[in-house]
Amino acid sequence: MKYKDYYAILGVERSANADDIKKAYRKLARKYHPDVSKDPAGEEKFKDIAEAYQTLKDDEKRAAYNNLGSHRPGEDFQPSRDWGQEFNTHFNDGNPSFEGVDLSDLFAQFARGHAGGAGGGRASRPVAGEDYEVAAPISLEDAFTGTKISLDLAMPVYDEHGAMRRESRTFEARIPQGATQGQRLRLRGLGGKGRNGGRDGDVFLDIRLKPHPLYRVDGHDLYIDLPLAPWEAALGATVEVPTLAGAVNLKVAPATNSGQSLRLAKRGLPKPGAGNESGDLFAIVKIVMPPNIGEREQALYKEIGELSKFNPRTHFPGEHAHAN
Amino acid sequence: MQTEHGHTGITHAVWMHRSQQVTIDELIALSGLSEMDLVELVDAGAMTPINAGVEVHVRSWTFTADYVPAVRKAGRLREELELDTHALVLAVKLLAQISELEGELAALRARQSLFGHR
Repeated sequence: MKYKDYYAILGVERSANADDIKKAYRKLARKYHPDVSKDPAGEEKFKDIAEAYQTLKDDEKRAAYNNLGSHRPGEDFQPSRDWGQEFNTHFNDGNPSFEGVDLSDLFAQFARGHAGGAGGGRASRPVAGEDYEVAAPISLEDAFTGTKISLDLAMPVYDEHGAMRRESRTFEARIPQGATQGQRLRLRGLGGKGRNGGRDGDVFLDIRLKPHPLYRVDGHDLYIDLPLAPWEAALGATVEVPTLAGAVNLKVAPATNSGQSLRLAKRGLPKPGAGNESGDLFAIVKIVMPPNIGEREQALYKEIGELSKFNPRTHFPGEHAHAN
Repeated sequence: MQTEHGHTGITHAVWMHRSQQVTIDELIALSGLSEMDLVELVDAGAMTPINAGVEVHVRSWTFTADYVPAVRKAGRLREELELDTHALVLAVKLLAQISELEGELAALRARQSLFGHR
């Protein structure tokens, strides 16, 4: 197993007292806790910080950890057989084997040792299986139709002595319609197995919608830019708008302005629930000038300018006096 | 309630959305918070049971399932930042405000035309 220097992780001396360890942990936890930190590496750092604190705050675990000796961080090592014998009330009932066990699982077994392991006739109380929170990036098209994703989870498995190891398991999970950014899907019972009658853990999928080249998302509503040529905006037009269910024809009224929002009801993402409801699709008008205007077009625009009495800036101070 | 079947056996897939409901017992099991913590969060206005009322016993409270992620987060904060109940309530209310502001920001960004800015 790989050695982790729990003291270095918390930034304390090996001789630090319980108060120093608690203070160091709290300071780092406030900085890196994934629920409050914006640091993208925060989750990984906090995992190590929490693991170090869980071990060092407990006198028995700390003594056992100290007994492992000092190694370089990341160095492969195996606890001695004597070490296993010394702490045999917690590990494998005196038959220690540390093959495939990592340091955090090793010390997590102390808690189970006290709480009652699966084997060895210890007092048994229900222990809930582990829950997992997993980010699930999916495309907007997949959110619209529902999809399947593959999940790789390091699941705890227990041998006949109650010793825990993690094994990689692959699951296929169906994401039904109803997904949107930040929505959570609970896969009940798919997490770690509960023991002694405890509930099986769940997997919570945190849906992350991948950016889409056309649509922007707000809840179950979608937004798309609708570019219009000046004459389409002026005279009105019927234009084809892509939706997730295929293109639809949208009638644009004459004298439509830039920034105006045209609603296509129920063309957004399907909502969860029995009502078969869907969000809407909003087309945001953007009037776009051609990059090059030929002589004939220029002449026509000039003619319109001379003909029209329209002043779009009447709200500017003094502008009304200059209106045609 | 929507139900889906995973390939490894029957898996109930449920959206944590206001269209679904959870009992107070489920919230306790899923968050690790105590009944007293949840009562404090309700008293502080951080969450509201569907069936809140003087005649409804706390043990009968049900909530919309969109509270589940927030309550699980509260449970993690309580445990991992070693918060007392008052700090927990404050943290949950501030996180809810942040989440609301992030939602408003996302909504404004969605409405903002990106044409010509890509």
